[in-house]
Amino acid sequence: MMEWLHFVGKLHPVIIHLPIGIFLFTYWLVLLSIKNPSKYTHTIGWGLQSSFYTAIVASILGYLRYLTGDYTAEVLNHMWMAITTTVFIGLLWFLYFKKVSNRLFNGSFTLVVICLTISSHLGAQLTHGKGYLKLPKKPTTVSIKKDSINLYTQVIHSILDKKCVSCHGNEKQEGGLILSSVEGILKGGESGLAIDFKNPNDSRLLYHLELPMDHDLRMPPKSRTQLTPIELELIKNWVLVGAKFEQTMAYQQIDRSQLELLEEFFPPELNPVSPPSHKDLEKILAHDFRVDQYSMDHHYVVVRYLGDSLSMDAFDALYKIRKNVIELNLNSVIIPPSAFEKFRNFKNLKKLHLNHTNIEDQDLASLDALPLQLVSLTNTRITQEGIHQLLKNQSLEKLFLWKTSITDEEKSNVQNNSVIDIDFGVAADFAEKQQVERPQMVNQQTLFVDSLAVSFLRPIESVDIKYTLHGQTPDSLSASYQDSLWIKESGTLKAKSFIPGWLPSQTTEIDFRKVAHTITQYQLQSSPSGTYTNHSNLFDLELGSTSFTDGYWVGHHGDDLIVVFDAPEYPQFSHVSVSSMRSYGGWIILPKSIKVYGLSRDGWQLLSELEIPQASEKFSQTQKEQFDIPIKPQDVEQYRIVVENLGVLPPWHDHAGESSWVFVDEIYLW
Amino acid sequence: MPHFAPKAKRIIYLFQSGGPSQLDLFDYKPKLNENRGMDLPESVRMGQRLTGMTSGQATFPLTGSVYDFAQYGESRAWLSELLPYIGKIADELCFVKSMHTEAINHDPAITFFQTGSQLPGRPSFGSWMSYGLGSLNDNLPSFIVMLSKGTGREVAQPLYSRLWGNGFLSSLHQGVQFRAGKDPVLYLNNPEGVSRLERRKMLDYLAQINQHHEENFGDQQILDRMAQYEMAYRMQTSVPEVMDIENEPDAILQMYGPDSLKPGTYAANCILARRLIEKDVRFVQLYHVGWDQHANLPAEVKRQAKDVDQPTAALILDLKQRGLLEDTLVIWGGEFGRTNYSQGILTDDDYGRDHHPRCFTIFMAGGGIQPGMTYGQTDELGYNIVQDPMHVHDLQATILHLFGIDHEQMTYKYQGRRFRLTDVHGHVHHQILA
Repeated sequence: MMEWLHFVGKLHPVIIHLPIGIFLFTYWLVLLSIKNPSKYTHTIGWGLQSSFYTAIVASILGYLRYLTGDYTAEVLNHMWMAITTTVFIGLLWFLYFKKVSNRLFNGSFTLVVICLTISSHLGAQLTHGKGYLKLPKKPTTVSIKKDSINLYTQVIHSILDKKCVSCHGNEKQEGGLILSSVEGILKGGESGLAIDFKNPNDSRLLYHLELPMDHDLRMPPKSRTQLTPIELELIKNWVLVGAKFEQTMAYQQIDRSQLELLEEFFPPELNPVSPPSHKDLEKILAHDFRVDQYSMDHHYVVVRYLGDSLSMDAFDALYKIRKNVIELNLNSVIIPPSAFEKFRNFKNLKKLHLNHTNIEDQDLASLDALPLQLVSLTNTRITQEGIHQLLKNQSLEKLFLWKTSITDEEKSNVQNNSVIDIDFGVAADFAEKQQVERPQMVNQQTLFVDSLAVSFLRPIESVDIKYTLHGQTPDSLSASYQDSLWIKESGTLKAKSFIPGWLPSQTTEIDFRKVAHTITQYQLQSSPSGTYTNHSNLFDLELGSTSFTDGYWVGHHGDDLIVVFDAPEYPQFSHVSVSSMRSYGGWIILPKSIKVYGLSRDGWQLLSELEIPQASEKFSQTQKEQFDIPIKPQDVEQYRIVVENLGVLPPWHDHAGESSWVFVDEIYLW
Repeated sequence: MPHFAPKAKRIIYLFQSGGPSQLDLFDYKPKLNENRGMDLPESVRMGQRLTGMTSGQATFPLTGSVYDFAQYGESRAWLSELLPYIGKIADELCFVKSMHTEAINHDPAITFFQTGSQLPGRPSFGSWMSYGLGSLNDNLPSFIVMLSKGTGREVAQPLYSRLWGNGFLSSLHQGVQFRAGKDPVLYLNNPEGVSRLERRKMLDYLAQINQHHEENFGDQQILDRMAQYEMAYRMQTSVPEVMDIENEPDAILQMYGPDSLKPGTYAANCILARRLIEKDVRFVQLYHVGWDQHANLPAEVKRQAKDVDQPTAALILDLKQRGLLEDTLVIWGGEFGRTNYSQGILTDDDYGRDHHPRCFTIFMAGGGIQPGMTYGQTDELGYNIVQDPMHVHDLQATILHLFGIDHEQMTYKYQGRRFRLTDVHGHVHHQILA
């Protein structure tokens, strides 16, 4: 029974809004009636009646809520105030019936509104916590002194205060637990101790914090602001080492991972600075600096010099806003030596980039007292002495020293004597000696009538391309390719790339063929299929790639390719060549045969024929293949070439029986 | 401008288009090897949808990788033998093994990664960054894209330029594609016979006319266009300078590997990415295509991995030795993962894998990311995530956080509502922040 009453009591914060709403609305009507009496009289009566009844219900529920004992004595103020307000509302209703003077009625009404406001405010404080209505004020940053820290007062307390105390504080003590004081934490709540000092791991505090989000007992509940992972981790670590309230630890005693958590927890210490003036900024920008604001919450700037050489005038312009500079990038800039001395006064500088600059060892002295975290000195004349000087700066975390004047021996010495991250560049053995890529031709043409200019891609100047034209593998003594190279005869070009310090490339081999005649007049007597019908490509002396869709290929689906052309005037050729391909996925097979016919007075006669062996099983590689058909010089008027298609895909093909494709990209005579 | 102090200022996003197989590269599952050939248990799949490419398969034979795995570095990160160079820098990297997405096919999935929505039309990640943070170098676009073709798969999924489009943001924020070869940006050079001075005069006159036009109409797009013309004019000198790798020392070229000498390869693009970052370009995105191994996976993935292994590792180390990794975030990853079962017939040394959006691996380095860590975990058959799932929107929120941006506050009002990169989702995963 009691449980049920307690449950019903929990409805109090919901129901309470009914009388408040209705009553305030009625008050609004009363105010309107001042100008326009008697317009709302009836509604005002109804409003008072409704708010009185609902106020009684809300009071009863409120009393039940009080009986649960979740609250301290403070709840009594709210209770009595609310009951009084309810009674007053009843009295107002009575005055309404009595039809007292407007003045008295309106005055009493206003008084009751004030009562209501006070009692509601007291109630709201119980639900939302006392601080709920505080005006926003500047956040006070807790600063950790570099030497020591008390985890409870500086960290744990403030987390609990922010995320837990609105429900587990002095005013509202859900589950009887108070987390705002040491005593409260030690006392625990109704269900037991918050912290188990014997088995810290089993502490109820941790148990509730780590329950899944949907669990009823999860803390903070789903609807409230959650702990950040860092906050949770900090509380956990604190409990696990025995929840020390008094202990103050020196920074050196804290282990690294815990330190990292703490650094995350405390906002980085950035001293507020005033924004740089517009006039100063304009002057700096005019001097070829680039200035970007660091972030919206601070007036720090990140500066980069865009020119090659920094004048003292320019530097002095920047010097005016030195307090605002948090990062300075002077990479690849010639810096006037007198400027280095002035770095000393860039009091907020955290990152300094001086790669490829003229900085010297003695200039580093002025960086001693700056809050620098990162300095990069790649490709400078800095030596070991300079670095020893620089390492005296305690705030440094990272140092970049690639290509400095520090010898390999000194490197390990410097690294060993320092706790910070020092980068000397990528280790020499990172990449094994690399092989140069083989030479690549700029254009892909290999067929020519008279002569052909061949040129190779030359990715970098230092590459030396050696070549031969007569079959030997090129070596360092072979001819060097210069800007271009003329091929005048059929043959094989072999080429190899050399770069000092690299392994020589593999050999590129390209077969060139001198063609006897170009064929310009021809008649295609078959009809190509699909989108592969551009038959002018058959005689353009350009070969296609292994992709049959590249535009160079003419395809026949199920049919033979038949082409007729006039015999050349000077028949000086001994071969007809047909270039074809096969592709399993494209249903493309090699031609069954290639036949060459000649037309003389006796009609068409077969001059030469090449049977092509077909594959007998599945193949995976798409392949180009060239067929040469030898021909004896004949006295004929026309030639006819028939590239025979098998017609259907052979039995071993997944799609056996379907029409097969034959593709040809070139036919030529040589 | 960043809302709060940023950890990273620049980003190189090495997008691996097609869906790299996490099971053959990063996510080591000995249990899959033990159960090779076994049908995928329903208790694991739990009725989750498959793509149309394998949903008709009678069985789903599980298969581990044919490649060996080993642990690398002090962080003992598991990696396949296909990534020896990545292994050398394992301690610089943060592997997220619990990425997941909703999209199941390439284009929606890449669009989702790039724009936060599976449907085309929203601004790309790089455009949002450019809009939110502005440019760091007035002479180059703040968002630059380069593509390279993988050697693993000849015919790869295409990419669309809308993936680096500005959507409803100003056209100033769109990604600019740099191509390999003599003419990196199309239509940038003056036409034959037009000198730089004449170009300047023409632009000045054009600006006058446009100014007049703008005064009459007040259309922001006119101003955007004028700014674009000016940017193009400045790029006429800045682009050739940055694209000229002639002066790169030999040791650097060797570090990135032999491909670095071949314009248009992933390795060459990696060098260019570093050069662009040195010039303070905000967002450099590389796309390497060809990771879509539905069949012939062992052979193809080996070639793909070789394309990227050495250059990626070299890029990260090269950034590091120049002090750039401090505030440059590098991300390597694709649009989804691949299934733990074989698509098509599983043979002794061959198999394929279908698209798998429920778990996949990416890795990150630099820019405020915790180095030497592995985050998230998949089940022992590599099908579902069991720990610390990281959704695409979570990744986006986390990256924005590194740049000092509250992803819920970076909005753009368009067609009556405020849009975000992370839509109405996304949580920052603080656990992977340094």
